[in-house]
Amino acid sequence: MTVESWTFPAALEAPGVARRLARSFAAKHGADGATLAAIALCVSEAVANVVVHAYRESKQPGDVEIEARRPDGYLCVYVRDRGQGMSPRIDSPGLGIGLTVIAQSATSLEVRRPPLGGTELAMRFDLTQAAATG
Amino acid sequence: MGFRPEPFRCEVRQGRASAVVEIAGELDLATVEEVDSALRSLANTKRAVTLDLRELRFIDSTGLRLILEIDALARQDGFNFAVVRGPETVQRIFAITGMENHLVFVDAPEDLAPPA
Repeated sequence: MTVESWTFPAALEAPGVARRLARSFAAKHGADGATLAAIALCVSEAVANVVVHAYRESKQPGDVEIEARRPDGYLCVYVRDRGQGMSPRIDSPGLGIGLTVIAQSATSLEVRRPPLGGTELAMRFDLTQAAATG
Repeated sequence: MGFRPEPFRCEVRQGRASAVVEIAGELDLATVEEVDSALRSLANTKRAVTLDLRELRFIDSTGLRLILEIDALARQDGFNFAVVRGPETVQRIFAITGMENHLVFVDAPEDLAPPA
């Protein structure tokens, strides 16, 4: 199974960098146009969430880690941070609807709390369904 | 990081009573501030403001939030605000979030008439 991962600072440009990396990986592994668009949107939302929430009590922004995998029939993208974990924020950019957008665009979404801290968003995209529905 | 961002452009075309803000490229955390400034500077000086998304290639909920804030401002302050539909990939977020029926969408900037 092919696995690629990237780590970079959770800065304002991080969502754009992350979605280009994820889109490039997905295109290389046969995702169609609709799936590429869904992956770009989900990755952008997930990384924006890290930029806005994960390190807001830190003096320096931490890192965001992206991992992409291509098991049979699926494409999985994991977005991880080592910050304080997810919590509500009234002044959240994006209306706080990023997770809703991901949930409606990805085949499945899991929010995990890794033992070492931070948050992991695990997003899975069904490539066979995309091909079947065209 | 070795990846050049998509070129982003935000241009304002002003008439006597109306203005059009054209954006091209990708609207996200890195670019939203520029559009925010452009729209808010017009909010209290024009009777009609149109945001043209036809050249936009990507938008996430950061951009959506800005559009909803300007729409709320327009309703409160009494100027017209409309959005020129973007490509399908851009329109998708409005459909997902149920905002297609909340905002005023038009096909071209001239479709938004100033209030009588």
